[in-house]
Amino acid sequence: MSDDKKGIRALYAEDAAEADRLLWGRESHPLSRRGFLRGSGLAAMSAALGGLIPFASTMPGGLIPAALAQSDEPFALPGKDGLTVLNDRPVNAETPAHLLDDEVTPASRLFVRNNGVPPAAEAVDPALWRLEIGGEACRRPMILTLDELKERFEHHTLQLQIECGGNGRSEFHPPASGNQWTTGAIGCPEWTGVRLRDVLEHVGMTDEAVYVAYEGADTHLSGDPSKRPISRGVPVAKAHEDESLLVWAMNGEPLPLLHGAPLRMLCAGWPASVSGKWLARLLIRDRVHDGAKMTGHSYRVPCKPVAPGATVADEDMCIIESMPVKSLITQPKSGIVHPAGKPLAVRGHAWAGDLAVSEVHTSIDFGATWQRASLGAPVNRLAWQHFRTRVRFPQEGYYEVWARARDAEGRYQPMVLPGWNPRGYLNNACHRIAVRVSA
Amino acid sequence: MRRASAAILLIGFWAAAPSAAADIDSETGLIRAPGWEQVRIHCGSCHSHKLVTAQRADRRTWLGIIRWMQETQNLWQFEPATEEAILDYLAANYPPRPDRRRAAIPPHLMPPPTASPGASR
Repeated sequence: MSDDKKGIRALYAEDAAEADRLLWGRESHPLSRRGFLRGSGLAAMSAALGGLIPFASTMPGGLIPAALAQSDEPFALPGKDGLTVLNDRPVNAETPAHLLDDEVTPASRLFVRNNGVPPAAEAVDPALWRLEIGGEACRRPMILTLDELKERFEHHTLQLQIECGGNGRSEFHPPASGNQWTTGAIGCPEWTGVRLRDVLEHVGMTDEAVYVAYEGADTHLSGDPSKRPISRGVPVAKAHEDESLLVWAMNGEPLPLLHGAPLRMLCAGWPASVSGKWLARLLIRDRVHDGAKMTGHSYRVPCKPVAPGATVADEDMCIIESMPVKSLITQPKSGIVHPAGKPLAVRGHAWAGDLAVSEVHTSIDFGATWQRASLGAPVNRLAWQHFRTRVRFPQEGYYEVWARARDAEGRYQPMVLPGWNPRGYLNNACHRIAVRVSA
Repeated sequence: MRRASAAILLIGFWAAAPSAAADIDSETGLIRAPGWEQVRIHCGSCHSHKLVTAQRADRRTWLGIIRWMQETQNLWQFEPATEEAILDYLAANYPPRPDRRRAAIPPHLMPPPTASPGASR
């Protein structure tokens, strides 16, 4: 068995997309989608493949359940990709901060956020994929194949950061419902596709156009075919930005199934839920889109600030647009012991929704004093930026290294939690890592 | 003594919180306590029980989550007695964590404990 386990780990390290297909797709395993839905499918696949099933339930190899991630690191192997599984039905997994160190996030280290059940692997054949474009404000509704999309429009390759609107939710109090993300629902891969704007110009929009919405090929968790798990989108102006794309490739490879194969929307800087996966339909709406998880409390925050725990009426909730300024220390890993007298190299990434980051500062004295880090320019608009610095500790003891970014309009990350909201979105409190300095 | 009573309060708090000592069902991860089987049956047929065990909420918020699932996610209606049992279980076993504006860095991201706390060489 141990050889099989090693095989699974190696598979993940070499090609996470292929590992995902093998572990979660159905091609290699004659299991029904229902079996996957019920959870037993994952366990059966993991067992069949010799994957680790450390929590007596459903964890595929290469993914570490939260319960184990919080123990003494049983899988601390060099070069390992260890995402933390928050939920297996639907599959949601985040990346520990120190595994987000790459400047361009590899597929194996990009968080997974699903609202429903992804389509089966054989249902996302790029050669057969059709994108239907319509909606009240579409002049010439049409269907384009993926090949037509690739042939007809200019290709663009950009590094674009994508972050779940609920990243950081676990810190809010009173607690907010939803996946209890810590810091790892963020990444910045390189995406290839066509501009959404070019496609919209091709089909034509009437003067009534307000919103561009998506529908995907994923299905509702309850199995009800009349319900969509999620259908969101962006206002026409955001859809027309240079960086709003329809993409089929990530880091030069076809999109992995879990990340929306074979085609997805990508509107960086806004909650990742605007970037629909398994894109089957584009709707040019004559109103603010009213699809699943556009309304109520979903991906909305109070229009006016409220006290923690307040009850907020639906009509007082506003749709989240740009995400706030944020940064993440990716090296060193939190919890290290560092030799006294030696400077510690600290580095990470910073991003600011629709804006650029202008400065990153670090503190080793709980925010009393701050030192400016060196910060690179983004490779392109809406790519995250990289910072680095060296910190010197005055004596032995327990330290926290805090990072705090400032956006181009002068807003800083807060050191405590930002404004409470019922669903726990937009936690951009500064990232903290723990370091013991000892002789 | 003031310090001793603080220590007792602290012990009391930990005893009240769900802990490793709780009887955990190995299949679902749910705390085995009165009402847990209703939660297993009614909450686990659409989504993972991890959505329950990872959540902390007061009774009112748990009820809000149930109502939201009933209104938008196809969760069926409960008999009043069943709903009471489910809410009692959730509020008792998965209550909010203590109030705070920002918690300490979690234990798994802390440096290893020193042999003698407070002492340094």
